[in-house]
Amino acid sequence: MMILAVGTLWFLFHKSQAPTSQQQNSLTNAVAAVNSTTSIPVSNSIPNQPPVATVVTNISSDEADVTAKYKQSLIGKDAAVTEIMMLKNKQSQDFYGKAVDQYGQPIAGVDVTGNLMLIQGWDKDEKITRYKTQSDENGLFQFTGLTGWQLGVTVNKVGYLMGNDAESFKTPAGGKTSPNDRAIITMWKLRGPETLVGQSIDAKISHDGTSATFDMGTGKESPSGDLRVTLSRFPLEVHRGRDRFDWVVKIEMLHGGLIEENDPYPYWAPETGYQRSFEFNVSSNSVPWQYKLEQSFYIKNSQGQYGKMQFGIYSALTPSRLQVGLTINPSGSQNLEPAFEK
Amino acid sequence: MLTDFMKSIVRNFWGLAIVAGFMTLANFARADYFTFWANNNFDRSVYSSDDGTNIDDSLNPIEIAHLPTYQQIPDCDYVNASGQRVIPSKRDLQDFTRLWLAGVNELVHALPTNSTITLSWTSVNGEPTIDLFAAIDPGTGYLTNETVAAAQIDPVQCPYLGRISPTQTVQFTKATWRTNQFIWCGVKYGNGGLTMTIADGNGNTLATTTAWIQIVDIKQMYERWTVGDTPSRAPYTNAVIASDGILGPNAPFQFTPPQDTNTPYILFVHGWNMRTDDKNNFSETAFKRLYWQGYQGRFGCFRWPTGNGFDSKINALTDSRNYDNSESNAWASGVGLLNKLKDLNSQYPGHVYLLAHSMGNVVAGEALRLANSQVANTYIAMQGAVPAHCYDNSTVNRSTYSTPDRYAHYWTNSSPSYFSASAGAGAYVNFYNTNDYALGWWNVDQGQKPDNGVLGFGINYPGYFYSSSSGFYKIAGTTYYLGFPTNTYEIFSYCDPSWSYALGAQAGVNGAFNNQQINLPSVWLTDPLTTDPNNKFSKHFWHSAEFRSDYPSQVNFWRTILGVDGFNLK
Repeated sequence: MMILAVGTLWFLFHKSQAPTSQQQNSLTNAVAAVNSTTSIPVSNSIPNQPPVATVVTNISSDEADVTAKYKQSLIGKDAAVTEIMMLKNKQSQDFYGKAVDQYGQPIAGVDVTGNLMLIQGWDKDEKITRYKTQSDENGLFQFTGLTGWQLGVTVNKVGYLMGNDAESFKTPAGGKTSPNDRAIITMWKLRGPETLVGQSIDAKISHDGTSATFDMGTGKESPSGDLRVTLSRFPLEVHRGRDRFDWVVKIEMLHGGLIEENDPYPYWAPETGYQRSFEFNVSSNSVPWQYKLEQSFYIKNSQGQYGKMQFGIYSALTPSRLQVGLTINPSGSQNLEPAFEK
Repeated sequence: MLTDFMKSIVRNFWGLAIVAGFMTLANFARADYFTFWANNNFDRSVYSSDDGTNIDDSLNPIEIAHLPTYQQIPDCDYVNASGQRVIPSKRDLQDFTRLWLAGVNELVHALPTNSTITLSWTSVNGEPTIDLFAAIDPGTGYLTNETVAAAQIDPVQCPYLGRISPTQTVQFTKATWRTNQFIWCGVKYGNGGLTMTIADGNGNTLATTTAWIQIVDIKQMYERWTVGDTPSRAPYTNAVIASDGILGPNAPFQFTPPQDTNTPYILFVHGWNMRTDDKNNFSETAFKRLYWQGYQGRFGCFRWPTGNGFDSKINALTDSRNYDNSESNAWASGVGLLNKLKDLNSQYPGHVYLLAHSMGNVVAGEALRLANSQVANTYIAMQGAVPAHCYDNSTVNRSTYSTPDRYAHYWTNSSPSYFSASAGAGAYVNFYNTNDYALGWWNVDQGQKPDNGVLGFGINYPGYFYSSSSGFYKIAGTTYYLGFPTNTYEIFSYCDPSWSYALGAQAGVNGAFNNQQINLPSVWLTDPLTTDPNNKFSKHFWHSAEFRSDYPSQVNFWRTILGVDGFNLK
């Protein structure tokens, strides 16, 4: 009722600009076009003609209805946006998942929470309703019959860890799950925490090809250390943020080795395959060009101890900056599990 | 009677040490007051029936009015339903600093029976008043760790120990002494010497030491520049110091000229839909969280006349163009920001850092475009609500329209992007989240441009249109043709939909950003609502998470702001 009144007032207000019969036909046609195809040809007409929708991407019919009301001036801009937002609450949120461990074995008894979110406005927090279920003996679980904007799923089971990596939560192509095409949630079956020794390096280093060597035990620069980093930048003088330049960093484990680590659960170091050095080369013409290297490595030191190194170097800074986090298991075990917070 | 050994201990007493952030400020000289802000806001853990959880936020007056009456008092006086003085939320811990009474633990057992340890003020100006709580541990975990913070606000584990004012003292005996680690917050303004006195049972002073402390309103610790806060009025071209919310006889705060030309100055620009007190709230949250990262430089905020009050469908009906009107004001505020940046850069040459949130990046982007030379060392765009094509027309098209993409090609089809020549900052860094809630709806707003005319509730709006033959135009009683560059701001705000995603939702933006970016999910790591990487950090909260919730949950964000990928000030 209120919306209709607003629309009526709009036409009264624009009495001096009232559309001609031809223009009214254009308006009707434009609205019809929105409803039927949502693809509106570009108007080449002169100004003073009524508005035409300009969206040429596909939108839902409900959204097209809102857009049509807006284009008829029955509702205002922000009301149109808000109504379109509310339409998103009508989406089906059925979800089918399967919980497995790192060996691919199904996990029974996983506590699964579905957080169903409903939009309440552009600048208001969502209304959230929580649904709970458990995985069956085959690791399967589902939420059905839910309608809303989004369903956020979390999993929890004592003795298992859930990661942040996309590899640990794989949804089918297109994101739509079904009983036969489930989201695969991979959890890490904990082996038990080890006593790990940590150290960090935060140093300003040269970018002219001069090597810097660090003692991994103390984190300090030391000629007798076992981590050597060599950064070369061409040219030497650059403007941070503006210039693109060639640079190369060489990371050497002088008395051990390293392997790139890209695992969703980096808690078990490989036994073999360690290389003495790793080199990262960036050309100024690289696409995308990057000024930093942030990479995690498994490492093995001269005592045969396994560990992990989170390596970061920022080549555009003058002097350049090196930030390294080191974790070693002094027992010699490949297990790199820390004591996770409960 | 003290033994010689005990006398030796007392003589060698380390003294009172104020620990703030990561500094230990032992025996501050009186001329160098340790200055800390009063805990006079409303950081509350509000139960949300919508999501069944508690969310920490700083409340504005409208929100405060919805609290139970006994809770409508500032945090420094907060009591629970039983009348017990408690810390209301983990968020409120960012208003507490540490007090370490070094050496007392070692000394207390050797003191004579009936000895006392008293904390009191001496040589006061004003009414310096602080509230003292037991600390959960000696470190700063209460600021950085959720578990420690939760324990810190538990009154059983960390009880309230009392108030120290010019007329009130806190006294311990050998029996009541627990630990030498405390946290405290400011209650009333003033300065003086916080003095610890150890006395024997006859009142004879065995040892005394003093630290000089000043409690001020936080609005006396940072500058608040504004080009206006009334959405219906055009922004000024030169910012003035804001005077709202100044308590007592204080004048609006301005820094004295820096003694050290290397002093950094961070200027924060807020986004859309902020009341004046919301602007203050976000600014003060940023200031506090930078402080706790160890930032020792200066801080200011730049306010501009955004619309506000847009939080419901009703508002959307009655205020048809809140967002786009605000965007118009944002573009027009660019010149005022540029003038302020020039002014600051003359005082802090090469050390001005610009930090903008959401629609504040329209203001920031325009200021840096208008600059002919560098006025900011580094610019960080947080969740930027400005088209990515303004900087880099090679980023993906979110959608295509019959209207031209004048952000990508300004203002002919063969031209470079609008901000292509932006030279105002030495480095540009994009803090983005491809799942950002508000920037998702920003897309919808863009898709509804040109803005239709509407009349309702006594407010009329012109209609905006586009035709390929005549370009952009509006009908407001008569027809007005809109052209570049004269009507750029009006066209951008009301007519021309962005073909790209917003800057703050787009990875790999080049141009001035040169692919310098921070993917916000890599900073936040954990979204308690989902482990699905496709949906993470998509809730509304995350659009401004760095200002909301408690500090422990956002500590990594602010570390990144100052870190090597951000301002590089650590």
